[in-house]
Amino acid sequence: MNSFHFAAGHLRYLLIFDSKGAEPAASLRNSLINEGAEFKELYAGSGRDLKWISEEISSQKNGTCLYAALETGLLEKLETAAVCAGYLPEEIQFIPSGSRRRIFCAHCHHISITDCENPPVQCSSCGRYLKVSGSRSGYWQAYLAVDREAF
Amino acid sequence: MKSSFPYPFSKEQRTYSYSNDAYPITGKPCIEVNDSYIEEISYKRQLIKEQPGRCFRSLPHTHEAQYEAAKLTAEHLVNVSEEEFSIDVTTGGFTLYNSILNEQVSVEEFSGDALRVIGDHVQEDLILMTERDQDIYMDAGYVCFPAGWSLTFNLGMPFLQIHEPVPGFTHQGLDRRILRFLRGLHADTPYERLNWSLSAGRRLDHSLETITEWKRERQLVSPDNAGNKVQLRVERQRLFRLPETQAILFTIHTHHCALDELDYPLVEQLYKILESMPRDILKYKGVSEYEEPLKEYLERKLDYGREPS
Amino acid sequence: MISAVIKEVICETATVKRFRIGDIKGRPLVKFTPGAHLVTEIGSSKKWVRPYSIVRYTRDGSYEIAVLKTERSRGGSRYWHEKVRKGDGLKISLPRNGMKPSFSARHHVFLAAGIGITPIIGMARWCKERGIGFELHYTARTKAQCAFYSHLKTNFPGQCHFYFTRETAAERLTPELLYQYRTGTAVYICGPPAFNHQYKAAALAAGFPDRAVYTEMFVPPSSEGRKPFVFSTSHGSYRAGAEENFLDLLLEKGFQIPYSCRSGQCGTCEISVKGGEVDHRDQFLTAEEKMEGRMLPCVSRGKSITFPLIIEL
Repeated sequence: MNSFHFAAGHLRYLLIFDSKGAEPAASLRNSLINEGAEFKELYAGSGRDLKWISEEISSQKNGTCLYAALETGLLEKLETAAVCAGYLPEEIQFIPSGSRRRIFCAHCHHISITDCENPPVQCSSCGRYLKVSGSRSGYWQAYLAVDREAF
Repeated sequence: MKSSFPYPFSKEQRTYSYSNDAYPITGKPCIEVNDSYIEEISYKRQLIKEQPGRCFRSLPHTHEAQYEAAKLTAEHLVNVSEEEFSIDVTTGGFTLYNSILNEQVSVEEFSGDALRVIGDHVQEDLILMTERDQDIYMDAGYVCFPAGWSLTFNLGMPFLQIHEPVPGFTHQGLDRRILRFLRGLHADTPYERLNWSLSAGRRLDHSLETITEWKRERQLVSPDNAGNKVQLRVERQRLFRLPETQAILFTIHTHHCALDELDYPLVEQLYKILESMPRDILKYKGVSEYEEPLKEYLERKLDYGREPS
Repeated sequence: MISAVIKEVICETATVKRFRIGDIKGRPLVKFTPGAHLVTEIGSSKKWVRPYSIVRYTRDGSYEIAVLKTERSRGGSRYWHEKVRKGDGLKISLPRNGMKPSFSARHHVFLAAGIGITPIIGMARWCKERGIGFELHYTARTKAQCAFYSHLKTNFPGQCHFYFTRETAAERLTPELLYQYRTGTAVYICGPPAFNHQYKAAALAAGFPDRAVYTEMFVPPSSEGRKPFVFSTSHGSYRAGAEENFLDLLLEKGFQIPYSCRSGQCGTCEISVKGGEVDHRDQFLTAEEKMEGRMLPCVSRGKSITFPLIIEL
C-alpha cells in the first residue's frame, strides 16, 4: 500500500501530495512522463487547505484519475470530497503518507489512528494487540485489524 | 445425518471444484423452519441483545428494500406454515403473527429497521445487497452466524472486495462471472447454492469479532474425538431479487453435521475431496490446523490405515 | 409469470402504441425502479416473448409500455400493433433491473434515439423528484414521429433537447456533446444497436469510466427461430434438431460438462468454439467473450447444417 500504480486509459491525471508523500508522487510522476500522460500536480503543503483542494477535485472534467499521497486525516477528508463529486473507486488511488493509519478493530469496532511502523499495534479502546491487514473499507475509511492471537 | 441436513456434494463429486454452482429454486421460500427454530431464534436474540452493533447494520438508502425484504420473508413464513404464521397487511406496514413463539410484531414501511424486526423470527442470517453504479454492494444485514467475517467491517463494501480473501475466487475470472450472475438475477427466478466448510465444535457464531474464542477449539481436535467434534458446516444460501426495489435478499441458513453421522460412502467422498483440495483452500476453510488428526480419524473409519493381514 | 390483461390501448404516434397492462384480478402490480423492463408473453400459446421498458406506473397499479411497429419485425411488434386489443390476456414477468440510475453521479445525461426513449421517461422523473441535475437529448425523424414529445416538453421543460433529422433545418446529435462534462456524470444510451455501440464507444473515448456508461442490449428470446444444426467434436459429428437442446445433446454424447441454471444466467456450462457460427441466446457472456469463441450450450446453439459448429471439449 505504499506505491501508486499507473492506471492506463484515463484522459488526464491529478496528483496531490504533501512532503511525506513526495516519494510515491515522484515515482508516479516518472510513470506519467514515460507514458506521455497529461497530468497536473498539486502540492498540499502548509497553507493549502482542504476547501481549495476539494474545489479543484470537483471542477475536474470527465476522465480524470485522482492520485493522492497525504497524511491520514486530510486524506480521508479528501476521499469524502471525491466521493461527493461523483468519482468512482476506479478513478481514485490514495496512499496515506507517513506511517499513521486509521485502523478498524475487528473486535470492538473502534477506529484508532495509530503509528503502524512498529507492530504490533494496540486498539486504543479495548487494548488488544492487533495485526493490521491490507483490507481497507471505503465506508469506514480504515484498515481491518485483527487480534494477533488469531494467527 | 438428519434428513433436513443439506449435504453439499453431488453423488459423482470426487474433487474440489471452482465454479458458480448456483441452481434455480423457482417457487421455493427464502427461509426454512426446522426443529431447531426455537433454540436458534433465542440464540440469535441473545447475541443481538449483547452485541447489537455486530449483528445488525444498515445504510440509510436500504430502508425501502429492508421493508420489501421483510414483507417477502413474512409471506414466505406463512407459505411454509399457515398454522404457525399469518400476516395482516395494512397501509404503511404489516403485522406478523407467530404462534410458535406466541408473539405478534408490526413492521412499518419507513422504520429503517424492518430487516432487524423480521430477522428476529427466522433462523437465517439476512443480507441485503444493492446495485449501485453497476456494481453490487452489501448494504444491510442481520447476521449472527457469519463464517469468519465481520458484518460491520464489510458494510457498504463491493461484492468483489468482500470476497478478496477467498482463495481461488479470481481463478479464470470466476469472481467477475459471479458478479455478472448476481446482476442478471431476476425476481421470477431465485437461486440457491450450498457453501461448506469444516468446523471444530457446533458453535454457530463464527464471527470475526469472536475469532479468538472459536479458533481455540481447533487445537483440541484428536483422532479420537474428531468424529464428534469436527462438523461439516453447510450454509444453505438463497438469493432473491426483490422486484420493487431491485435489491437482492441473500439468506443464509447454517447447518451442522458431525462427521460420525456420515455413512461410509459419504466419509469416503469427503476424504477424497479433502485430498484434492489446494493448501490455500484448506487453510481458508479452517482445516489445516487439525488436518493430521482429521485424516487419521477418516482413515481409521475407512480402514485405510490398517495393514493388510 | 403473472397473468395480466390489456386495460387500454393508446395511439402515441402513427407507429407507436402505448399499452396499459394490469393484473388479471385487479390487484395492484408491484412498483418499479426507473429503467426497469418487463418480459411479456402474448398471442396464441404465448408465442411472442418480448422485453419492453416500463414507461409509467399508473395510480391504479398498472404498467404502461410503448411498442414501435417495425418493418423488419419478426412478428412481435406487428402482433402487438395489429392484433392486441383492450381486454386481451397476456403473461408478464416481474420488473427486471434494466438500467438502475447511477447512485453516485451528480449529473445524468440521457441520450435516446426513437423508441429508446421508453426507459428514460421514468429515470428523468426520478431525477426531477430528487432535484438531481439531468438533461435529455432525444433524436427522432420528425416531430410527428417523436413519441412522448409533448409529455417530455411539458414535464421537463428546461432539460429536453430534441433533434429531428428529417425536418427542414434538421439538427443532429453528435458524439462531441460528450466531451463537455465534469467528473461524476453518468450517461445513458438507449436506441437501436448501432446507436448504442456508437455512443458507448464515444462516451468511453470522452473519458467516462465504464461504470458510468449505461446501455441495454436485448437478445432474442431462447425459444424462437431455432434451427437444426451440425456440430463436430473430437468424438465425431452430430446433428441437432430444431427442438433439441444443445447441452442435453452434449451430455447425452458423454461429455462431462458442469452445468447449473440451464437458463443462460450462471455461466457454469461455458464451452469453447473453434469454428462455425454461434446463435447466442444468453445475456451472460460479454460481446468480447462471444468473439473469443465462448458459448453457453444450455441456451445457445449452432446455426447451420452445412458449416458445423466445431467444439473443443
